[in-house]
Amino acid sequence: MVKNISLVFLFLLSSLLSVSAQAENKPVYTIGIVPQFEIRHTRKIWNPILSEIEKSTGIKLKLVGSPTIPDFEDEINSGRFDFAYMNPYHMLLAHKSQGYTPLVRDNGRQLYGILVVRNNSELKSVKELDGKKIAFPAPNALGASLLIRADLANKYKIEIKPVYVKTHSSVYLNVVVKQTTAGGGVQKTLKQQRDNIKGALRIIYQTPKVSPHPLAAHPRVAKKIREKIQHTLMKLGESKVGQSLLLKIPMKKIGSASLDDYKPLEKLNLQKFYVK
Amino acid sequence: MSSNTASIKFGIRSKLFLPLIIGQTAIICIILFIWQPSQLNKAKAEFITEQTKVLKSLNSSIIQNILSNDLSSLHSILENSLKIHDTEWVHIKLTNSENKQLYPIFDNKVNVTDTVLEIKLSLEENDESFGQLILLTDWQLTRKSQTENINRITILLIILLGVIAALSFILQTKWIYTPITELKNITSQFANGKYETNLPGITKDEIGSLTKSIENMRNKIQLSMSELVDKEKMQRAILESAPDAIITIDRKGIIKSFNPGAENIFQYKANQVIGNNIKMLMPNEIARFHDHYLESFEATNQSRVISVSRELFGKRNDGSQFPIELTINAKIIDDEYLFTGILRDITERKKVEKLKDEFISTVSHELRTPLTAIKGSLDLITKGFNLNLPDEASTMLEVANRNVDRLLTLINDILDVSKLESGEIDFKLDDIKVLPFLNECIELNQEYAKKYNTDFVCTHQHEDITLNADKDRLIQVMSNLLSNAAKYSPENISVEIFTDVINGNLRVSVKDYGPGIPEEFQASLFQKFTQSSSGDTRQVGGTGLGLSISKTIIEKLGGSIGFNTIKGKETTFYFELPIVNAA
Repeated sequence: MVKNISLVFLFLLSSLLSVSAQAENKPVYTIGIVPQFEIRHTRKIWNPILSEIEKSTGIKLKLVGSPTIPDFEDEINSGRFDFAYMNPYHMLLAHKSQGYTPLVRDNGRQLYGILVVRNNSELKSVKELDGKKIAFPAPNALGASLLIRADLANKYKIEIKPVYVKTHSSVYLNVVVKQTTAGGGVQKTLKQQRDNIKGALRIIYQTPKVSPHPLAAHPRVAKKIREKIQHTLMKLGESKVGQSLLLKIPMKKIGSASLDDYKPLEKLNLQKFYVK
Repeated sequence: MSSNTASIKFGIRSKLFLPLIIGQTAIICIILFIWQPSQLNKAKAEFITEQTKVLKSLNSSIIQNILSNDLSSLHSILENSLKIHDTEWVHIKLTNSENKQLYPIFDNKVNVTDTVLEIKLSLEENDESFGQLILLTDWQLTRKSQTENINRITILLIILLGVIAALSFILQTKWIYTPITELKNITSQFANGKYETNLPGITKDEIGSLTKSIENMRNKIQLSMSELVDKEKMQRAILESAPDAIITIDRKGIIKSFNPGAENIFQYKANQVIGNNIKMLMPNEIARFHDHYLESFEATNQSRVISVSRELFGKRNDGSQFPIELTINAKIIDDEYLFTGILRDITERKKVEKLKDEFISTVSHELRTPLTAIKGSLDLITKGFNLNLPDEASTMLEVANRNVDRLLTLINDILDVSKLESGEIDFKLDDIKVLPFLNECIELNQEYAKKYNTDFVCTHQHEDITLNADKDRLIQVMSNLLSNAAKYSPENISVEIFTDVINGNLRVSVKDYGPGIPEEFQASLFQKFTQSSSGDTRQVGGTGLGLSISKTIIEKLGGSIGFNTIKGKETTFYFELPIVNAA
């Protein structure tokens, strides 16, 4: 019900915007951001970048927030956004449903999941985790959950008892306080933990690396506009100010992205582990 | 004087102030040892309640995070709480329902001081337990601020108590101590005779009543004093104008007062005798017994001379002796015996008495000689000449003879009295054996008994008792007592003679069962010319001198005479004389 109301609201809003754009003879494009952070935080990161794009190209981009990840996924699947920043698994889904294509991604790093256990754990191999409780932040977190669960099932053929604990920090804490035997996370969040927690954990497994989150465009957006946006963003990555703005996304080193970058994911058969 | 200025050791001000001080000390003790700790405990309990409330506010979110396994949020909540309450919260520990410690991950060493309290909170929702929160919280700051508050209130209370004490002291001094001290000083002045001192104003309280009472008392004392002065003046006037000598002495015989009458009689000035012994006013033969009298009185409290009029001799300043009549009274004043002697110079009276006695003696002699001649003549006429006189003449001669006898007896008695009083009679003292003596007396008076239809019965049994006395004079005494008894005894009822030994004296008693002696005669019975019934003289006969003569004889023999009587029933006369030997 809430979802429907918000869709109606978005539709009305975009209609109004297109009317006003037509009045000014300037199109306004919508951009959706995966709700990894709170909406205000997301706006704080993205609005300066969108202003830079408009300043350079005259193309107006309007940030449209989604309350939850499932909402965001629905909106992608329905092609609601002209542009969207999404995770690699979403990229595959968006391409399949609406033909979204990636424009840019972080070329400075790659995304992979890690499986941690307590430092003093007697566990030696991943196989020993069969039947054990393993903490994950959420079912559909790509690196910290989907990649790991897919590998454990596909590669190690073991069954585990997943415990979803909302955040990466909770994953690590659950492991340290022995609530779970192991936990899924990513390198970056593990590094962010306090030393005593980091010191209490060791990585027992690391998933194969995948390309990180891309900014993708809907096929209805003219190629010229798509290229302009791609070019402008990559240009932004060359200046220090631009770099600092992009780092907040986070994109360490911006570069172009192609569908091929995300093809390896298809083999992992992630939809089997995706929880709707 | 000493009682007025008795030293004050624990004054009224101290007494009034002491309960206040005790009360205030008790209040301070209660504040310090009961109220302060209780306030602190209350503050502690409130602190614990407050802290528990804060912990409880975390209850729901903690349970939610436990349920969702969101330890990160859980830790954030607890760490934030620790940060927010960092002035108090020292440590927090969270365990789940399986008693697994969820927070902190690593137990740090906690510095637990004596002000750190442990509060445990069971995490429960819908009767399901999700674990336990243990909070170590330091209430030092709260305690410090509470202690400061309590101390502030304590100081205020103590200051208040001090002010109350000071006010009480001032008011007690103003309202009680000062007026009482003033009254004390005024009454001290009254004690010293200064009655004119002004009294303070009369307040409407007990002290006012006291002042009023003191004022009334002063007025009454002043009135009594003036009455007393008047009385004393009057008494002094009486004392000074009295012709009799009035002398007071103490128990040692020291003269304390000596009135003008005494000065006149003894020819001494008061200042010459006051402070000296009374013996200076006595002839030596009396003076030498005086100390003995005083000692005896002090020892026994009894004296024969107290309140009895006696005739003695005094000694004037020039050494001359003179007869006095003395009455002594003893009074206890300030726990000391004080003897007052009232003396009268009876020199003149004695002279008159002597003249009278000499006159009586002379007249008696002169009367007796012709009476003896008349008696002899009458005896010859009636008995010697055998005259045949007509009956009428015989009767008249008998009357004349009887009256001559009476006159002779009277004159003989008067002469006896006169001789005894003037000391003309010499006593011939011999040892007298009492039993034969009494028998002889009875024999001699037997006829007399018959005359009155009575007889004498002697019950004396002590054969060996001997008296030393003039036998003839003692017979005279016994004859007097026996004849009196026979005269007053009813007919056919015996007169009883018996003896008793009392304190080394022999008491000889003569008892009749006659009408007794009327009360009005008892006092003057041993005086001259006294009979129990004057109007009865003729009927009972006698001169009224017998008992006076008997008294004089017995006293000259060193004894005493007396009587007991019961009206309408009996009379016993007795005399006592010292027993020579009871061998």
